[in-house]
Amino acid sequence: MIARVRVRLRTALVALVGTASFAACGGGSATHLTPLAPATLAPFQPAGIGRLVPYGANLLRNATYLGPARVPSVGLDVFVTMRDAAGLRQYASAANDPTSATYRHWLTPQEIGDRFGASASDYDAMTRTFNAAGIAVKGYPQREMLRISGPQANVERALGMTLGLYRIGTRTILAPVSAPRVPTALPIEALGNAVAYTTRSRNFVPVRAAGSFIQGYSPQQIANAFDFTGAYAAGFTGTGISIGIIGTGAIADGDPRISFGDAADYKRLYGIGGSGTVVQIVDTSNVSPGTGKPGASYSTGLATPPPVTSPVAPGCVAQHYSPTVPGSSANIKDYTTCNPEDAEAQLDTEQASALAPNATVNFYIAYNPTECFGPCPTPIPSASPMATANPNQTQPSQQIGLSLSDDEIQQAIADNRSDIITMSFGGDEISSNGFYFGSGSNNFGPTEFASLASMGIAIFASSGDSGAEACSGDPNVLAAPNNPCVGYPATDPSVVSVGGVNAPLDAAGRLTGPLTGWGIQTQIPGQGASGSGGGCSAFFSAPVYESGLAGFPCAGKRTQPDVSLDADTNTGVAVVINAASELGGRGIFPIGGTSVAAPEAAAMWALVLDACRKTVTCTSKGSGATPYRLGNPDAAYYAAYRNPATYASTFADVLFGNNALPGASPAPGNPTGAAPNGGYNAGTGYDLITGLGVPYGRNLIKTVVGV
Amino acid sequence: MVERRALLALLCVTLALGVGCSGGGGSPSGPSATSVPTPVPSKGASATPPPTQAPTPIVTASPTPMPTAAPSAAALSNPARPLHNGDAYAYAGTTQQNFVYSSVAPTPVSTSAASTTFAVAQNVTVTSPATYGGVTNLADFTTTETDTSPLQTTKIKTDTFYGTASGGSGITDLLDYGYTSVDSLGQKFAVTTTNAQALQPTNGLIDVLPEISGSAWSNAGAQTIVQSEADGFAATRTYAGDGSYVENATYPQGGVATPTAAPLTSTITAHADGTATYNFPLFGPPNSTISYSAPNSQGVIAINTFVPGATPTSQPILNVNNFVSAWYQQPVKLYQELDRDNGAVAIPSACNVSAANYGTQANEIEQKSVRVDPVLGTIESFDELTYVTPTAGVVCVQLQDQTLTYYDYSGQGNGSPIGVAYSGGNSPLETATIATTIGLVSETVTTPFSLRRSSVAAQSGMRLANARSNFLALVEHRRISAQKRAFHYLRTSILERIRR
Repeated sequence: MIARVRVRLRTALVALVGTASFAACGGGSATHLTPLAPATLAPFQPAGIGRLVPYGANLLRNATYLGPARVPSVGLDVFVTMRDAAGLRQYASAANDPTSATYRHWLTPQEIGDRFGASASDYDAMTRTFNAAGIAVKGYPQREMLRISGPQANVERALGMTLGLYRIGTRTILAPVSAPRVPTALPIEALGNAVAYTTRSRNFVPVRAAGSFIQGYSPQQIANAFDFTGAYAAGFTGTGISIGIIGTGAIADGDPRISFGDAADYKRLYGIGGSGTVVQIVDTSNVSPGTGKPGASYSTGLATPPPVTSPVAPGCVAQHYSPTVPGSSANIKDYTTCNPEDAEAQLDTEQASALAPNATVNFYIAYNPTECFGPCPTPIPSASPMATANPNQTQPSQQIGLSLSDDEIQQAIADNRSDIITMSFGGDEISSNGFYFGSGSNNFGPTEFASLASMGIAIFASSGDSGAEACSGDPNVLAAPNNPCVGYPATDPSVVSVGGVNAPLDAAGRLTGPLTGWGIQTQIPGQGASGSGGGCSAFFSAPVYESGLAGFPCAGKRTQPDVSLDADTNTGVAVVINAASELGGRGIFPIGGTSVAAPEAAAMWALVLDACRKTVTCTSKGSGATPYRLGNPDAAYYAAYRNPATYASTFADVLFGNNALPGASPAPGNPTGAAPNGGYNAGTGYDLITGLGVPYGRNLIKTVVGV
Repeated sequence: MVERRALLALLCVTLALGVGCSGGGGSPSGPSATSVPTPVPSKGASATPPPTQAPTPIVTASPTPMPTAAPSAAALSNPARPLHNGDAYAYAGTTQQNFVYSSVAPTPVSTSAASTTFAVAQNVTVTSPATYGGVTNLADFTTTETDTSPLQTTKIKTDTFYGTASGGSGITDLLDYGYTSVDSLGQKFAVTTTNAQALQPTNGLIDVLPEISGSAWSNAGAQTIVQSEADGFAATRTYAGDGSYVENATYPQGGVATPTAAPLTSTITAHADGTATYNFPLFGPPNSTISYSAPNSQGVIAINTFVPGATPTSQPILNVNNFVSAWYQQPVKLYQELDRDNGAVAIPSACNVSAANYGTQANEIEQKSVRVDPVLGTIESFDELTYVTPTAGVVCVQLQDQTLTYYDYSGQGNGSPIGVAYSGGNSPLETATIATTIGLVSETVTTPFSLRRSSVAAQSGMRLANARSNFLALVEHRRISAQKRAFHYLRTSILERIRR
């Protein structure tokens, strides 16, 4: 079989080069199909031979073609044909099922590659093929994806496509004008980030009016409220545990011009001790030179991420960047002179590192040279519709980190350094289908999350801030923006979906009122519509940990969220942004959103793993170098739920709240009773706004680890 | 006691209580022939498991001021409650907190309660003499309480200072001088009841010795509470006898990140007729002001929000009126209190007190108070029942605090016409209840029981309130948190209103 593949690959290489040459000549007939044509068809469609490759065309269904693209460098993800991706997903499910014989038999990335990933020979051969086409490649031991980067022309030739500029909503993006084609034998399943647009968004909500008035809760308040404190007192502080954060944007990274990162400053300011390394940056931007193996140093387009700058740096002033909205980067065209910190990045790192004070936090960040961080050498032709529509927009919009989360996740799988992954972003399921999961993407999202789960790595994702309507505001689902809708990756079966509550606390973190599901009941007039993401998945079946629960909503579909923690903007947390004096010392911002809840849940789980690590009866049930890993926390959460006494001692059941958004239509099949505004009510037991409820740290350890 | 009887009569008239008056009858009933059996001396008796049942509600939640029935029972004989330096006691019981949203806008309306019940274990040690607030010769009851809920265990340590003063005619007044509190969550504050001695018997009086069934008294509510919290917040609240008050609060600004920022200060002034102002900085100086009228003849409270711009122009940025239905009775009394000796009663089973050790009957001392806050929009009812035996002292305490909230500063209302989230009306937005029942489990005393009856009566009743300090600390935490939330949300929602 291997020999045969090699033969096929050689053939593929020849064919690819031939295709590339042919495509480069241009002028071919438009015989290939474009799965979903953009609203305005491109006038030029190159000829192609070979196999059509899915590339996320559904993201273009409401796009407007603007004109041809001329960017210096293009980077995208090549989802390779794995030998048994479905088997990997099954393995992950079994390894996280306490009733399975393979429970907590964790794999290494190399084992994933050897058992389920592309064959090493295929992987290497593909790397050489791309290199021969003038394209740099980064590979990973799990052999699920190749990251490629190179000059636009080289990439277009190699993949039999032409790139253009499109407009979706207010964003200008880079995307294939025609469907990519590759030689039939080339083991490519799909392309990621070929459409340089992501429906994902950060799930934090700055408290707009309160920047100088409400500081947000301190880490001590959160720790006390949800009994992290009790875990600390018992000696569980996250020692020996690493939390990985899938990055969403720039973060102070120890650059010599920045004396310390904000997370370190945050801990210092709030008097948080602990031995944990605050933040280690794992830069996944670079690509390796063709061996297909990580660790080599070769880069195109972007040798290093642009340095973090002050939000009031001259470059930011010149570009009319507004520092009043944390994380806003709408006006930035040249990140080399203006690269302010991302509020989400600070929020995530600070919550995780403060609430698990002895844990190490790894921050994964990828910069996409496709997005042209510097001034594009070739401006958009002035005659193009894009230039006419927006003469100031000279290159595609950028969403640092968000669009390259697959790269970051692959890096987290490859380095196997993080015991926990947390992601405070997401997109609606409808737009994610066919791109992050579903046949159009070869189910790449579920596969890579299954990879993490098969390694025992816990994954947390925010459930979203749009209540029961995760699709609202997505230009790709204009048809029914108010319909009930949930978000991805929170809905992935390998991921813990973290929703949010309103948590009224006194200065010490003592509850002064009931926990309430974040939603319409807890909004301040004028603060906008937001609430804890929740509802039923339209695509994923109920995982094994949800199965058999009597009266459970969603009729066999995956439910959202699983658990909740503090998220309401009215009870948000303090976030230090640009605290370093070199950056202007901007201080503390109050921020809410399920972006807060996800790293909080991750930090709490770090305490659980710390307890397991110190408990022989717990580690003895694990395997490999990380026997303390417990896999998907949902298995433990739902196991606790099945026992009323354990549930009562582990979770605060949230009884109040509704996650409708104002003006929403009624939710069909609302399983929790009348909800005039279209959302889901909180109530006794599981509900579709707060999930199982709010876990309490010390007792969660007792429940899961038994100490 | 004449004064006390007169006071009781006055209360019966002015508060229209109608109960207890007959029991008091205008004359002290004197010691009763029914006395509590002399308990068997017990040092370090085996711990009785804390009761699991919810404490029996003492009063029904209602904005209607004062409670009712006072049983007319005979008092206990010689209700001595001995006290010596080094004495130690252990109590156990439960605390239950209930929150009910009874009028949430807009939907869904939920009337179900969010309840939390936790086990309470108290260890009390007595230090005497002690000094607090410059007053010497007090007794310091150091109480370490462990609260264990299904979800969490917290500890709170309280030092409560009691003293005595002569009430004349052989009467000894037991006075509460205040307390300090620190809990495992890092929260600290101190409450000082000023001039307890100077103003007694109308301030800080928690019991009258010897205890006589039917006797009653009242505190006028004049006191000053000084609070400080770990986050830098500080407040001084000075109550007049009629319950009107002025509170000056200081809010840390910038916190640890920008410690040099000047703190913000606010002032609440609540007058006896219900009119009030809440003055706080926003754009100023000058400060912004929320003004609350008393209910007019139609039962409407006018609330004016006046937000001036910064000097020198100080032109109003916002000047709007909002109207809400009166939520308290007229004429309003911002503070009312009634204290009464209800005589001998059976010790409630919820106290879970060992009958073998401490008997089955005790003298019941009751304190009820109602406080109306026209700015926070709350009616708070506090009710305490203390069960005292002659030799063991306090064997059980039941406390309940119920706060009805009519104004919404929490952001949990929606669609306010002026951006400031009031939810005034006839029904409370939220009902928060906290109730505790704890009973004596064991004691380690330096005075043998055989000698207790000869103990100095003037010092013997101090354990009356040892349970309540922690309870009041919880209540005060909640109250001040509501105030802080009001401060922040007022400012935020006004700013939002202006920006729109």
